[in-house]
Amino acid sequence: MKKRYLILPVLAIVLVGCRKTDESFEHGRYNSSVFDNNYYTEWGGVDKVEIGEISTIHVSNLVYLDNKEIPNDHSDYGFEVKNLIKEEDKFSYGYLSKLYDGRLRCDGLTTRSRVQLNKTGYGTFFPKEYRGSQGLAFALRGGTTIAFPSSEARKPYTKIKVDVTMKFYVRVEGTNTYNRVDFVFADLPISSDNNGNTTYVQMDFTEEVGSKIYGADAMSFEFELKDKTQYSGYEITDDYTSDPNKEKEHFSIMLYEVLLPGSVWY
Amino acid sequence: MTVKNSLKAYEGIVAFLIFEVLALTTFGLGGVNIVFHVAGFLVAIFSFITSGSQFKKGELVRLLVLIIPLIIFAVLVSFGGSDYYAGNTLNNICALLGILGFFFMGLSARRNESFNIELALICIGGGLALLVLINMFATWFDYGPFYPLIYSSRPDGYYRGEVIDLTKEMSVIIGLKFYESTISYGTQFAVLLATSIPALFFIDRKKETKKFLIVSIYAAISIVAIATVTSLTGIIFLAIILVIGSIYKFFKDNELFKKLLKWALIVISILIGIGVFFVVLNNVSEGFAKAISANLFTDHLFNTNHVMSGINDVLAPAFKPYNLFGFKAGNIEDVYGATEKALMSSSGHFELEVLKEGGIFALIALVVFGVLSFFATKRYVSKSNDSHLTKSVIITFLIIFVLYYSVAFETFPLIHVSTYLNSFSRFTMFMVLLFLLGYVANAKGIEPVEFEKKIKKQADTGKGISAVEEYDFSDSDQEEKQ
Repeated sequence: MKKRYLILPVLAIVLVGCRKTDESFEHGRYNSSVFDNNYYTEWGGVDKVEIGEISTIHVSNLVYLDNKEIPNDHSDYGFEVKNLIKEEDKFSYGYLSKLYDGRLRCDGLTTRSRVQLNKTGYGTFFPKEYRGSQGLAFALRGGTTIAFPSSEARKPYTKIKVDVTMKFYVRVEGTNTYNRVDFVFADLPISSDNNGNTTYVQMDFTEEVGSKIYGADAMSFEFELKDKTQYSGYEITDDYTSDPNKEKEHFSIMLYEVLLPGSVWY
Repeated sequence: MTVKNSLKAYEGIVAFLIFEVLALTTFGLGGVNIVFHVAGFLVAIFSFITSGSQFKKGELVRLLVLIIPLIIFAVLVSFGGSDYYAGNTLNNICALLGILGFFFMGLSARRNESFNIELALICIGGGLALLVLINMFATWFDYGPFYPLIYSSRPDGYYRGEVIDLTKEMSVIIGLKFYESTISYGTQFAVLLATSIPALFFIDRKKETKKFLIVSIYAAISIVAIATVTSLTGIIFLAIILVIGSIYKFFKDNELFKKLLKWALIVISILIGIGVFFVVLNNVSEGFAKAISANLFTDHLFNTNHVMSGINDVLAPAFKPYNLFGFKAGNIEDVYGATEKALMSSSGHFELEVLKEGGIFALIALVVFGVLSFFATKRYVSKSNDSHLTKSVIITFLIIFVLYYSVAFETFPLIHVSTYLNSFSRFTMFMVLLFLLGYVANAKGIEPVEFEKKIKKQADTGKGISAVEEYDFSDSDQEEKQ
């Protein structure tokens, strides 16, 4: 009878395993020629957590860098110095490692570099607990289904405005509740539909802000197209679920990188 | 008490040290081998001090024939100057000590009365089983069992932003850390552990229950490990192991089969010899290479198929003067960087890896050592007093080692760490092979007196004695009849 229990540790290894195969895809997933098939909308359970207190930080002092100004110290791997993989090797695994690999802008590698998002956004648990950083940064651009226009016709909407909200989830010790800290980047002017030109946004943490997200276990990223009339002559939406028949042109965010420069993980 | 007798008192300790070194080397934490190389050498010294005096003078001369090519090989792969370990003097010294140490440990172990080859094989199996078990559980934890089958329709994963095929990697321990390796690298340990399976044919389950249980556990671990990563190469090699075991069990005394096997081996050797001759000629003679590439069929056969192109990539620069003692990149004459390309890629064949590590002379020395070892093994099988259990396991291990690493040796086995080098000549499994070859070259039942008799006989008939004849690796059957 006791011998039966010997199989339990083996079963535990098999079942409890934090598997690399938990996230596996068929060939070409998120990399097809059909725009709508490439949206990454996974939340990894972050949307299911019980939320306690919510505090909102309206970010104002930002550093903007436009395409060629974006640090890129390696032709293939982009900005190597401060990407998250450099800071913690566990960020190397999974689809979102595209956001941590230092490729801050479109460098001809197209879908190898970017994560395509719609209004659903995405959420993810960190592989380790966040224990502080100098600030946060991300690199992104807009992208639409509008047929590639001539350079003259493109001009009116090569810079568009979006509201971006990055949320950090800090677990309240001894409970299953998470306090949420929302960073709201309102009226963010970003490049869109302009040969892959990308915008880099960076904010530095004050001691007070940094301490608010100390111990964060997860984050999410959401956005909203600020003014849908920015694309003159086109009806556009950033919410593909509200347009099942695809009567409008679709807008998405192409997110290239999420950085937490100088971060510490435990 | 004489010095000889007082040393004999330490034989038990030395035997224990040999078992320990074998188990630790085989486990080896995957690939941390320098320490075990030195340990093997030190134990070999102790072993020779305690039991070396039992070697007769003529016997040592006889063994020299086998040892000389091994020494040449060891020196060249250690200090030939290949870029793999150029300037790494400590590592090179350890490699030299390891290669010679393990072979001499095997040689001297045979004369140690406290040494038991079955126990040694159990220790080797134990080390391998532990390694296979750790790798298997780590792989189950990271990927789950049978993942190549389960995820065959959605095999893509991501590593550092790049798409990877999850079904073509597994977890292995190296040092105190787990890495993702190719499946053929991770499976090699399970395949070598599976060479214990033929022992099951010779164990009396009722009389030798403990032994049966241990070997069954080894067999089960290897089979489960191979099955759960669904390695096709592993499964094919399991089948080969069963065939070897069955042949040994049922045909070992069949004279007709022995003759057939002998002729089959002769034919295969001739065919391989002819093949190697033309492949080498294709890489050294421009005229021959042109003639080959002029014909579509011969061009495909010798150049454009993926197996041959990999072989040619190593052979082409192997005969350049600057690569004769190991591949060295950056030579001004190496216009297209062929040497660097060969160094940076995994050929998949241990023979070609020896070319890269020690050059053509190291490979020739290894081939000579291999041929002599073949005859030594043949002699061991027919003359040694060892049990069939022991013989079947040793033969299977030797055959599978050569076959497996001839087709699936991984020089750069880690998927995400391109700098990790798995050198053949410094590889822990090669050390185990050398120990076993040392043992079979000097195994129980092969008495030196037979050698002396033959010398006398041949001297009487006025025949000269060539090096190979002198060692008497061959014609054991003939000798038995006489």
